[in-house]
Amino acid sequence: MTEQVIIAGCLQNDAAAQRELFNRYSPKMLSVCYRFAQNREDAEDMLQEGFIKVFTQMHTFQNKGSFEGWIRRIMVHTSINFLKKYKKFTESLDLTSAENLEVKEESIASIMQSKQIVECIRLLPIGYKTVLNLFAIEGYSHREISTLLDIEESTSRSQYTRAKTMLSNILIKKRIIDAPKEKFELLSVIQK
Amino acid sequence: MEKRNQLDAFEEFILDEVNEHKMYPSGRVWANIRTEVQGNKSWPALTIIALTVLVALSVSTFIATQKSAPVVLSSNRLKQKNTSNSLEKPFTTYQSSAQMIASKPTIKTQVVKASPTIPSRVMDVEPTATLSTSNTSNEIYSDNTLDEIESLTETKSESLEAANIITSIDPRNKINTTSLLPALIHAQVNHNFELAASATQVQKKKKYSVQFYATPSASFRVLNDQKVKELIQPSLIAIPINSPVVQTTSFNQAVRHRPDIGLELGFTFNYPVTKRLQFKTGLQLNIRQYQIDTYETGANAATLALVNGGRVQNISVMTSYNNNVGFRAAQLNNKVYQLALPIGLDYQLIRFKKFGIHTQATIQPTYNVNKNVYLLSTDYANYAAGNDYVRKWNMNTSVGIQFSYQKGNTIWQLGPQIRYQALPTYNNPYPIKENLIDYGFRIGWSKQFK
Repeated sequence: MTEQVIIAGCLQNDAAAQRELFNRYSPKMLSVCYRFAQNREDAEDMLQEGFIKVFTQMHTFQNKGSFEGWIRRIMVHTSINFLKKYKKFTESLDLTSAENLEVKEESIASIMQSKQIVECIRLLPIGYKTVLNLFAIEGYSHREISTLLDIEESTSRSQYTRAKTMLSNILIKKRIIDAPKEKFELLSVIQK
Repeated sequence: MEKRNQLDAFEEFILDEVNEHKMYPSGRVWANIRTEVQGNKSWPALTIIALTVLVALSVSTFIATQKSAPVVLSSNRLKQKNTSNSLEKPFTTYQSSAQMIASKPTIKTQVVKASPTIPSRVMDVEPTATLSTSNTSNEIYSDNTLDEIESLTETKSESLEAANIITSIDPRNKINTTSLLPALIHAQVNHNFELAASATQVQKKKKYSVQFYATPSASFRVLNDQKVKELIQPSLIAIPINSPVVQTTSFNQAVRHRPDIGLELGFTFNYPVTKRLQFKTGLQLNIRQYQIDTYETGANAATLALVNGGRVQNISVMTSYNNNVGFRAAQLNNKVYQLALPIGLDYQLIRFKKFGIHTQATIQPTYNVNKNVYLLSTDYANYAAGNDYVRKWNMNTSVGIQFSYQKGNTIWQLGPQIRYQALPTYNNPYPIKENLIDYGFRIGWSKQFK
């Protein structure tokens, strides 16, 4: 079944087409929701809400841009609204405690690396990970993020920088990436 | 959306890895979406059966509460009536006689002997009626009371001549004209306790029964590959390259399984706990099977990923069955023989003279006697011999409704039944969980013993 056939079927509220659409995009979209959510249950709730919007708002898809991108935007907005609705985002926006985040050092298990990285992103405080998800992965600008999250643009920028640093540290501690060679210290030693 | 032309290496790495990541939602998500969007929901068989049982229970409870009442005498009520009536002269006059008659060992013996032959409705006799005096004599004597008196007088004891006299008189009109009547009545009342007690003893001699049954069934399997989705994330090798669903591997798309005919044979001993409820246990043989459509190929290695303590271990096993390609089609038969020990309850929902409706539920510790099963490799590409991974001990549950027909001491029972295997067929490390479910029709034959 091609994408156009699926879209046409969904516009006619055809259950088989809807099921096909769900089967095709739900794995990726659940991953998107999962990165924003606190747990898998929340992610599935977001996914459910998002797909209901997709099916009920299908007529608004203009065939401009990719269909997957359209669904993805719906999922992102649904996830953000979900966090706002249940105050999960605003409650955790205080970032002062984020500096003390403890990450256990461990070797890489045989689970796929992408899953590990997603789990590492989820370790970040909710404010950090939301900005990181929106900017680095979903491609939103800081201006768009500030509008979406009701925060200052500068806050978005600073949060992103901190989130990136923290994620990098987590990945190093978990031995997913190597620590950068300490050039500056070496240079300073030589200079001394 | 802003174009990010200047992503650094770290950001690109994160983006690439994250875009690789996929997760598979649980079944409830689609079920909820479907309900929300389509506005209807399919009713699973178990829900229908549960509702049927509930309705049947409600109806039987309603019918039961419509029936008349207490069967056993209330000693308090009797005592109260005795006290009030003892003040009345006619009764007082004959009380000593009654006690005398009652105390005669011959009579007592007769009553006790007669008790098993007295129908159970003897216990329905209202003691207040037998103790009441002449003012209400026409109303107070129920037919049961008269029958009971007659039955007492019909005993062969010669010491009950007085009772014989009474039986010759129309009790409705002349009951108080016979001087011995109150005495006899009193004796009868005194003995009602014994009658009740002996009747209870009769009741307590409950009938055990042995049931033999056979249940032809259709064997299905329920699969859950959540662990595979979460931990292993299979390749798409099982899906044909030209398949339109190439992007959405799921277990049910990768396999072609068909249900097959199964059988359950067994017997149970049933012990009555109450009039309607029976405890049952016995022994049972289960034969369950389903068919796998696959292809025969040359020998190749199949990968089985086993999850042990959160770590995934890959094991290669040789097989000559491929799920997608091969030189000819093949059919594999996943068949298990199980010995089970059903332990459960049987409740009679509705009872007529000969017909009845029962519902029964059991749990069944199960031992896998013999097995001939094939495992799907965790990349969904091959089937390999899986006998080594089958769980030896398992647990089944079974519920059913049966229509019964009783003739003498034998009962025939017919009705639908569902049996569900609660634990997966395979050991815990194998990440694809398979639970078997059998929809059957039970044919049972029971014989009652005292």
